[in-house]
Amino acid sequence: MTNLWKPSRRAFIAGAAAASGLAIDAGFARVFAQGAGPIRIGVLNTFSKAVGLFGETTVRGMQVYLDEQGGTIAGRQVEIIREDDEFNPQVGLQKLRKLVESDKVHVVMGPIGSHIAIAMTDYMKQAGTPWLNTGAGATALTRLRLPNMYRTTMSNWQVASPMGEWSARNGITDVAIITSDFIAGHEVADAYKASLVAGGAKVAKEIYTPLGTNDFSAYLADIRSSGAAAIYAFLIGSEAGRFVKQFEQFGLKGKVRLTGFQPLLDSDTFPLQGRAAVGGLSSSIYCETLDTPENRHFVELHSAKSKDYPGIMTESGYTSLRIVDDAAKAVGGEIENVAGFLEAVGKVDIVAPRGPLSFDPVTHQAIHNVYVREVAEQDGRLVNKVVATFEKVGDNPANRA
Amino acid sequence: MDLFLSQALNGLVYGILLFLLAAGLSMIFGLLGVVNLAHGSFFMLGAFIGLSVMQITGSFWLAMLLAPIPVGLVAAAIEMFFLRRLYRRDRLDQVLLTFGFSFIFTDLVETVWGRDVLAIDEPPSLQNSIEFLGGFYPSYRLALLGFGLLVAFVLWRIVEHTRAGAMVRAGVDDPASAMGIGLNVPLLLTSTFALGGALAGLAGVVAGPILGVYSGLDIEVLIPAFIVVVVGGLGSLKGAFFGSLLIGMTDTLGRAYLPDMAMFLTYLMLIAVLLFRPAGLFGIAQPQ
Repeated sequence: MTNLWKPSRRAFIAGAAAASGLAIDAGFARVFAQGAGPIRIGVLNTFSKAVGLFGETTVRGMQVYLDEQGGTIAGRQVEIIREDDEFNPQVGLQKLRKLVESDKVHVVMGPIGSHIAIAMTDYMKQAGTPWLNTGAGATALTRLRLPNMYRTTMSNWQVASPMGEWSARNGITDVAIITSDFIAGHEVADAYKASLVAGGAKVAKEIYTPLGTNDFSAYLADIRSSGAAAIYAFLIGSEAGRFVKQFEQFGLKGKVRLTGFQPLLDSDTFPLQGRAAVGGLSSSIYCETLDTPENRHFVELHSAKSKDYPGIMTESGYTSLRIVDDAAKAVGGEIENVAGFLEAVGKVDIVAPRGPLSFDPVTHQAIHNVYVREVAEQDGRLVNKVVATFEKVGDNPANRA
Repeated sequence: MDLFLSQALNGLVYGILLFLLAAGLSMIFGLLGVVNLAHGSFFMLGAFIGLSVMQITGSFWLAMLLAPIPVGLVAAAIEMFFLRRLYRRDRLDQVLLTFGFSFIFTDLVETVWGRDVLAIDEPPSLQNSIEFLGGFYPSYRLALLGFGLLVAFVLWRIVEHTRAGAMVRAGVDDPASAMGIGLNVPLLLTSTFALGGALAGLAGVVAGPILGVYSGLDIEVLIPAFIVVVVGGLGSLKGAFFGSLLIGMTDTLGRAYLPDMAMFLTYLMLIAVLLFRPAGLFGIAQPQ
């Protein structure tokens, strides 16, 4: 029996080796045929689990931009390679290595999870590959001053702090804070609380829920009994969906004011929330009903891809790819010129759908408007409407010190 | 409504959900001696199938009615074609088999339904909140509580007061003698496994509006269900019932009053029960 087995196994291994050799040959031929080849963009984001929709919407935004540009960036074809970090730093790091070392991407874009972004920093510092952070808001990230990272999206401090200030000024004075128990949740709560308390309001209760909480009934009962007049919540993806629904089911709607950090009440989560979201307030760097030519154009382009309005991450995908395009053009399409490309990203000064956007030269944080938005019903659809605008908000002063 | 009262209600609702899962798990362990690590998968499978039935027919009630059937059939097939071969083998082999199946089911649902978190909507008639004792409570959760109690009652009647139930009890207590007096033990094993699976599938559907529907749900519900079985006593329906309520209450009240220790409290309860009643609250110490 063993004699019969051995040759066939050997043959199998030989066959497999031969097959993989062929594959490598074909790969080489393809690269040579295309000369410089396409610009390879590695999208490391979450495409599964509770926040999976953000990976999808980020890539959708990028696709909207690519289609608008006829599929090329700075005259070169574009290859978008997406990897799912599963919202898990270990998985994220593995996939990042794959993107950088085996796919040899020119730019890394993503992630959504702050804990994943933090885990990426050491590796990215050594790899030196340009990294546009399109979704992770961890305030600490721009304090590290990674030369090759630019954050094209918000920092947690940047969005949470104005909301606290605005709330205290607008009669929201007794607040229960509920956020997910991970780095971004604590940063958002701290930034919000600091500016709320500075404005003379008080915090009735702070609750940190484990990531992956499905049932908020115990917390909602607790908030109701605390007598708080408002909730400030930061929950993401499906958790945001369920929380807002249960907020209504447990009879808090109409009695307690619902406010929160941007992803709590966004176009991406409205389908999960339905009318329970109406009247909710949130601060964000984007609002889908902004009445500017840039945003109207973007919403129009997006409507070809989805029946829903674009959300924050869709806009981030769109604008971030535009930043890659602008910077690549500035170096004549030679995105391989890493130093030149990064310098050009830093000089970007555009009017995006979200409004004016430039980068802080010290921390590499995007400087943009922060909007306070209210959820309203318009033509039978849920949309956010701008209630107040904080113009050109920069990075946390502590990060610049 | 009084805070404690509403938290206690939350705890009862969670406990009842756990019971629907743990009842089958406990009976399967009691009768077949199998630690069924695929039991959470039956729950998850029921939730996904229920979701699809609901998307096609638009009816929550049909989802509740139909989804447990294929899950029960899958369970029966696993028992007849795979598990049955392993009864004479080491327990670890059975654990490995059911563990393997749980991986297969996870991959299966990810292939068919994707990896997003989905949700089953409550039936329209139960989407509102009921006002009582000066507070609000979602009517779906109250209905779920009533439904769970009804299921518990029906199961209890079956196990304690029917011939089939007597056969199951006989099988749990002493399988060799049961076979000796002419009981069709293989049939009994298959139907218990299938019924336990179908019940888990039903639990998956009715939990859909509360817990959501996603891959990974299986492990999340399986662990507390195992704790319930150990606390309540292996193979005891009464144990599964009171164990579920105890763990449901501990978890919910823990989250409400001692949020930092909530996860730990459930395990503390488990340890306490094991120390003072090693066979569980309603378990019979097994001569091993």
